[in-house]
Amino acid sequence: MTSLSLRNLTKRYDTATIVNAVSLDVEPGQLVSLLGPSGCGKTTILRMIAGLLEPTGGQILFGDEDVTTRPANRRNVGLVFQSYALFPHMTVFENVAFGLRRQGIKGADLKTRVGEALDQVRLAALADRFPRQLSGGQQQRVALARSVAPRPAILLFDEPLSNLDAQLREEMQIEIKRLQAELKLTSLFVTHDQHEAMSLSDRICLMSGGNIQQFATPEEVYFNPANGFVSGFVGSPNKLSGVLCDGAVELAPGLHLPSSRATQGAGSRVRVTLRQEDLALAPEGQAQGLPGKIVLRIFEGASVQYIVALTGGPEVMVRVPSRGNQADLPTDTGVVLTIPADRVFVAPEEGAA
Amino acid sequence: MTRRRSAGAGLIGPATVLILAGFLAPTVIMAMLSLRDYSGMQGIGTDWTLSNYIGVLGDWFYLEIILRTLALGLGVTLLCLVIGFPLALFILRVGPMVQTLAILLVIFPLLCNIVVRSFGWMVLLSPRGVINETLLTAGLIAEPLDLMFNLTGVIIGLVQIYLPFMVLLLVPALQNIPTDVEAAALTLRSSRVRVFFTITVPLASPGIITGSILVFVLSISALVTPRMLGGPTYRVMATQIYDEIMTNLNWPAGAALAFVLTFIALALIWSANRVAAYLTRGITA
Repeated sequence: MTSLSLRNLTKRYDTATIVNAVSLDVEPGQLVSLLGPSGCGKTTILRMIAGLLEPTGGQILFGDEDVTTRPANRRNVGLVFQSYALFPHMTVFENVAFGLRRQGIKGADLKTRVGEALDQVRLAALADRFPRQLSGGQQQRVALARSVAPRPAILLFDEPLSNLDAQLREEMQIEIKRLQAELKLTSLFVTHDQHEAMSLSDRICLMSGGNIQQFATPEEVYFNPANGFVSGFVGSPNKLSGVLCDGAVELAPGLHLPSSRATQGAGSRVRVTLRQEDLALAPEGQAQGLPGKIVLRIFEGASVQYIVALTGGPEVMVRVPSRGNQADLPTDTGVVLTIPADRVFVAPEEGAA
Repeated sequence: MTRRRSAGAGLIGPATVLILAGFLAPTVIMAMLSLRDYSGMQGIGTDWTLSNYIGVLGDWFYLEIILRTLALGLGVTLLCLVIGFPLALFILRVGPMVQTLAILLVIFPLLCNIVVRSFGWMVLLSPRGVINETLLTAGLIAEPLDLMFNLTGVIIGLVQIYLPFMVLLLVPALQNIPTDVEAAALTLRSSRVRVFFTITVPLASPGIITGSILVFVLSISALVTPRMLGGPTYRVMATQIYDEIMTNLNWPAGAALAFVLTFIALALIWSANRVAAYLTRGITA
């Protein structure tokens, strides 16, 4: 098991800085997600670690070894692509054997190792097929087998699930998690999907604009977002604006929301983030909170989403369990919204930090 | 349904007439001619015979011409491939401005008349031509090089003419290879050279094969360039067919030689397609 460290890793094109002095440590055997919107620099970091892109500055370390200038074919990494990137002119067996052959493995040994790798993704029966003859999920499992077969020091994932439909994606998530835990491979997983990042990672590295916004466990990122960008990205947030006033934010005249996270001075304009799942809803008169009226009810299966127009203020979205008490409120019902004071995230109006 | 069918027949009608009258009929007439007997005194006879084919395939004079033609085709094809592949890669990888310019330069020779181009090469390649004069003046050679009226001259001339076809077929073939696939091979411990030969070339093989067939078939049937750069005594199949028919007036022999050339081309196209189908069985499955 090898650790992976980035030291002030930077990538610039002309004047545009794509990755800005990123430092990051992935412990041996851990899976870390690089999470962020498109264009945040996460794929660029991954490609620099794989050796497919040259960094403008900084260092990449595998364990204690500096691999920054080492060519891609001598880095001992496995890379799983969004597009699968299987070799279309080779059978599944030959695809998986490709990296092993370069290690000088042949004959019966090669057969055993390829068989092992295909067993790990439960595709041993399809060894003689060509990639074209497989479904998307199967192709990605072949790609997974191909990248782990040579036993790489570091395993890299570049949005591997984005081309799969929702159900397959969940199956593959479990597959990846299982395999990664079994082989104890130090892994970096690039994704723009927070649910993927949450469910797979030991730690999440949330990125925006080439900078790390927060590097912490999924729980920490969810419950204690480091800044306005993180609170606005994680969960299903309502993004509102307000004015701070003495331990509360004023969303609109008369609409005050107590917040234990308000650290700025009174009177400053702030961005307020309220997660849909943190908001609770009660019929008018049954609780103390923000008054409003239901505009729309959307049944989603496990949950029900309401669009609530706050009296004299903005609309907010609320999500409640579909088997709970408040799941059947018709439109135009007067309601009261409540939220614990520590879940009202407040950040300065401008800039992500 | 009936109306649509007659409309369809109407649409392909002119083309059908053209192919029947302009291609199929002459081919049948030539095929029949190639089976007629011939004597210098009487001209084309009325008896059926295979002697024209036996004459072509049993005479070393003709066999040498056939082998020389095939060697010429092979040489031109390989040179076009070796020169065209890097050029196609270059066109694919440079910026849009240079790309447009490069494609224009590649196509440019096609816009020039073939006779003019061959005369151009004669100016360059002749014993007292630009190339030899320059090398002699520079003291790099003592005697003028034999660049013309031989295989060298014909190959140079044909490569220049057919290179655009090769490049224009290789570019889209290379374009179809996803960059991720090459990157994946790179991360799987393969050097760039190995990636090129194990991934890039096999995946570009449909374009390589199509381009090679086209260049080969065009080369073995070329008439003007071998005549001009090969000189009056340099014989390939096309020039020999021309001489048999126009000089010797031996139409049956010329027709037989023409059909041998056609069958060689057809056999090559067929077997190349089989090879292509095998190589790309994963891609087209």
